[in-house]
Amino acid sequence: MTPRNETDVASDPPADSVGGLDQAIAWVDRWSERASFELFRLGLYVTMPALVVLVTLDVGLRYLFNAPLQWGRDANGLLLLITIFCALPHAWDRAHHIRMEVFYIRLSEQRRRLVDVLSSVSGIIVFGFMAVQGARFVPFMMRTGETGEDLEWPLWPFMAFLSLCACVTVARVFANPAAREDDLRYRVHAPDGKDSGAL
Amino acid sequence: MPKNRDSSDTWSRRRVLGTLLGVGAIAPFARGERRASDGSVLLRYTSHVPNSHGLYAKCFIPWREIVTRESKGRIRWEHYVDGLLHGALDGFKAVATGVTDYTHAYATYQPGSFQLTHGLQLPFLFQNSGVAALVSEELYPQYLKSEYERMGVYLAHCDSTTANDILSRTPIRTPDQMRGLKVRSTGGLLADILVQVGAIPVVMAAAEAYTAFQRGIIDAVALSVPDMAAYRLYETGKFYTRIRLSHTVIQYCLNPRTFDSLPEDVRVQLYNLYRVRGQVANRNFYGGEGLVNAIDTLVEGGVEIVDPTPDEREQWLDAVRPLEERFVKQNEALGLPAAAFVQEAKDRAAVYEGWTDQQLWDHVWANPTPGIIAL
Repeated sequence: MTPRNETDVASDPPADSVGGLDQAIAWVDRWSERASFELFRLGLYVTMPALVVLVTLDVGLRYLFNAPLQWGRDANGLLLLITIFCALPHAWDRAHHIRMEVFYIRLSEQRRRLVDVLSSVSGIIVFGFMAVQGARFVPFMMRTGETGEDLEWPLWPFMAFLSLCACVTVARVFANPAAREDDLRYRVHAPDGKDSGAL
Repeated sequence: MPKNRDSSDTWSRRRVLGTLLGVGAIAPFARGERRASDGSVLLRYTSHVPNSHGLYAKCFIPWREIVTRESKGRIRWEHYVDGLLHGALDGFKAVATGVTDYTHAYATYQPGSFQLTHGLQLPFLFQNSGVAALVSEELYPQYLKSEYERMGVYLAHCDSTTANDILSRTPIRTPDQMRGLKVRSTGGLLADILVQVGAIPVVMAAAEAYTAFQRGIIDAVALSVPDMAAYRLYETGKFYTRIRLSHTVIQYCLNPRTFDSLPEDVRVQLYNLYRVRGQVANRNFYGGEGLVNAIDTLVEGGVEIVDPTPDEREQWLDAVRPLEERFVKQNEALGLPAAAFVQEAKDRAAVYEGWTDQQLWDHVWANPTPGIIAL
């Protein structure tokens, strides 16, 4: 199951589907889980290592060669932001987000579901606003030529990427309102469907 | 169990969808009203600085009192500080999205969006922060307005920080003595100035300078005197070179939709009151007594003041001249009147040479600079 093959990935019809809406939601579940997994891998294997390399390089250049990277602070900030946003949807799926377990585990099944609905609605509103506003900022930033303070790269592609990550997070919060990882199709460190708990 | 789980998920998803639709339906009715029945207007000021910071306590609050007095309470303010509604870098976006009516929106934080505006930071252009703020506003209608309004905002006013000076471990009188030194700097033109004199700029926040200075990561700091005092840098640096390298002109923006929707008499009154705002900052925070107190703090901390002689000052001017030439050349290549802009900045600054803070204050009250916003 790490990740499972395409046959596994193909959707089963919803157990008690009552119509097109549930089919559509199941489709959102499938693509967003895949997107969430790929974003997590991007953060894990590309942006976080890049961040480590850049910080190490900057420190080395500053202390050993007296030649700090003037744009290092801007680039580090962007990489850190991308890394965090890449991991956000996956963090929801793996239940790594903060939840008031002290109260949650004492609730009945029915109440837990109500609490799940409430937290999902809150999450969707927050990340939904973030996704929409991020997308609205993209043309504004293109028009005004916004760059970093020292890194003279246009910032709009990064804003577009953050908007995309927020969009995937919304889809995951909606499709997996209980933040339950048992049914996830894509895993990183869970051979044979057994969760190692590593990630 | 899987069947139950599917049922559970479907149940939750449907309720999430239903709740979202409900929230969406009532959201449009949750808007507040900004115009009071007595004809007064309520404007929103937002800032990234805490309420203990001088930009708020010594600049905005005294100016707000002037506004209340002059408008007889017709212009009222609600203020959100400490980055509550947006951060320092997001002033333009906060106005574009209607989060605020009046906020900090510095060109230096978005260098790629501006060209001629950066010229206000050229070295040795202004004598003090009061003149820098006034001349920046005078230059604005002809040279800078199109750049700034392209961001979807109006310019409210310009402030200018105290000049950037040097605090170092060893005495520095000439640019030659800067060669090879690691100097704390902001990005942009200040870093370029340091490179021009052979120093190595280390970009870091002012708040990080103390530790870096103490540990020997940097040999000197390029910073304004009030910040040197505020961050207790005199505990490490023992020589203060009063060279006045450059001023950082900082802009504040206005929400065009809010401003245009105000009654005409309120618009005119607010416009004129904004012309005073830069001098409030100069008198209360960047210059005046605050500046004197900061220098006293350095001296009491055992710092020796180094005032370069006219000859030594000339060496600094010669050293950084290529920077000004490069700025003019690059911007002229873009079809911008950079040479005329720099010359006019110098000419206008020369008019106010030797003026006291009081003279500048009286001048802006009597002759508010026209043309910054079309009234």
